[in-house]
Amino acid sequence: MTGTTDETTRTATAPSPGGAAPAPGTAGDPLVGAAPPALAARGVTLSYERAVVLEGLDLEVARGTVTTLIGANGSGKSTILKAFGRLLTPTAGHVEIDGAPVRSLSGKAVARRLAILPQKPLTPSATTVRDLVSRGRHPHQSLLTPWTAADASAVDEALAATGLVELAARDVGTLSGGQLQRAWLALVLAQQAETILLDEPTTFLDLSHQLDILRLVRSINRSRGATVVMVLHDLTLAARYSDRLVVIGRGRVLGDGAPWDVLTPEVLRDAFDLDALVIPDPTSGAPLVVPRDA
Amino acid sequence: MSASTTRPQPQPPQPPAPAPGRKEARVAAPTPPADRRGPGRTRRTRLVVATGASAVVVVLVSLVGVAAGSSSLGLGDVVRTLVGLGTPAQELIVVDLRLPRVAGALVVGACLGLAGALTQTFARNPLATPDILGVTSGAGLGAVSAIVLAGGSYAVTGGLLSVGVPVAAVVGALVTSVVVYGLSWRGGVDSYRLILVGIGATATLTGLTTYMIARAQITEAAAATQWLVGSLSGISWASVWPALVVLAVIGPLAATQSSALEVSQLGDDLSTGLGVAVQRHRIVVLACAVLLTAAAVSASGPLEFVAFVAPQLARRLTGTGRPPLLASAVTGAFIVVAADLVTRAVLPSEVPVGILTAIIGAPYLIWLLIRGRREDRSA
Repeated sequence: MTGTTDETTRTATAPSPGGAAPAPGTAGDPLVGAAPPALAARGVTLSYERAVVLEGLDLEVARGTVTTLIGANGSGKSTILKAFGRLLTPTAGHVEIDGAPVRSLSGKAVARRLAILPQKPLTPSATTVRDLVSRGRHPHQSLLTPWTAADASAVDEALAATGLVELAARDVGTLSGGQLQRAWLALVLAQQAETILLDEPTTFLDLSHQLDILRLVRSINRSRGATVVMVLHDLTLAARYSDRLVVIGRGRVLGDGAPWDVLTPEVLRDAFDLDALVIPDPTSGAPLVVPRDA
Repeated sequence: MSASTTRPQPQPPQPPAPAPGRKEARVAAPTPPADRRGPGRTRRTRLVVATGASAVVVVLVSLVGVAAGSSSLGLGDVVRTLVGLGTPAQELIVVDLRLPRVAGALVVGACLGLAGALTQTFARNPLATPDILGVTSGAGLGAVSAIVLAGGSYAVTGGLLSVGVPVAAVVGALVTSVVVYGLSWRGGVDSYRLILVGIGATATLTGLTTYMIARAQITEAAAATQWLVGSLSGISWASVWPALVVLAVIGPLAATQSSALEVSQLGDDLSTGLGVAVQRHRIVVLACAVLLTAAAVSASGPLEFVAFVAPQLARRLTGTGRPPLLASAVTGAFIVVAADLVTRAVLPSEVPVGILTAIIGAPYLIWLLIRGRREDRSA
């Protein structure tokens, strides 16, 4: 079912904004029904120290979809991702994973369902790619079962999926930016969580490596049915690789839905103070944002 | 918006975009051919071999340590006596006189090495040792206060030196660590802030200790100074046992934190994502380090730089990315036993072991700081 919606989104060359299929699991849409959403924010207020970043946020993320949070710098999109990843505790409201409040679950239990790749993980010294990826198995291990065959095969699978088999024995300190980012993704994949949060996974990468990462994310979503929520800055790439875009600005949600519904000149002006044209991308049919000169 | 979205685009310079969704050609950097060894396995083998070899060296040095002294014993005599086949005279020398000192050196060294490995790993910084975090200077102030304030009354002196001073040292270490931790807390403890607060606390406590000594009677001042240097000469079984018990309890507890320590090298956010309860883990690790340090310092006085050098030495021997816990305990034991042996058997007159560890440790710190810029990208 998710396959059809995102095919529609991806192949919808029909430029009429209303024509695109509604994004699955749009906030407030009661269509979700039986299965609880993979992730949900219920009346969440987020603040740093005393400054409130977002107030009373309600957001549901349907299983098996790719949702991208977009918004200007400082709009709070990474903050939402942190709240979903329980890196930041809401000052009001709560976050649910598969319908269960995050706080009712143990750290490792959450980590088996939800993986997060933060913006700047620290690269450890004297560590091979395989060792790094192996750390993704931490939530599956305990004192009594330190390392099992399942752990080894999860790591192998993650290395294969990210094309890192050849580099498995390399020290992570010697990797290029693109390779290192793939290694971090592999770590998160080895975690085998159904839901994956990615905070600006393409920052500091050139365009070809950005595509590399996003295609990988898309293929993980398709092949494993993983739910992905990420923060991206490039609107065109966000539109191309997401089922749903959520525009954050001025402490609230400014737009939410399929890329064609959300990426309108009005929303762009509202959220980014950007005067732009939105045209169909000739290669993918997704919306392409072309800024106009003032 | 419809006006702007319907415009067809000619776009002649279309980028050579690969078919989306297809298997992509990756920009594969050439792999160096040297990478054929089994991933992970070689490192683990090296860790086990290096730790085992260090342990063997520690045992040998300890035996030499027991043998060395004014009445000379052969290594064979020592081993024979240890298994219960020595003469009563040998028994007296080995078991009652020399063994407590060597055992004390082993336990103190292991405690300090392990404590250093814990703090250096959790702070992701080789400078973060119990000395820097204020634990050692807190113990120092506690011990010196006990010597100076209570030392004037002769009645308590005997009991004070064997019981009061170690207890005061432990109390000083614990109180200091709680205060430092509390001052570093701001919705969670960040290791950088902890180090800064620790440095401040160390400076304050050292100043107070100096003040206490300056105001003390000459005999107490001398005793306090001697204690602060760190020495194994006064150690007896009575002061070895408490430290050994602490090591036996805290060692396994620290080992349970090993995999969380490994994960925490990736940063707090990713650790949380991987299911590590970062703040709780940090409290456990710090508490372990503080108790180990307090146990060691109360037995021997502060031995400078052992907690700093031992984990770094262990890391270099084993080739791991972070100081390995067990190997750090072993190298810590080695450093203290070997330093004690040198002060007794090699140097002309007996020098307190704390002086020797400082003389070795300080240049090593400088060397590490100079080299560290190039080497520790992640620190």
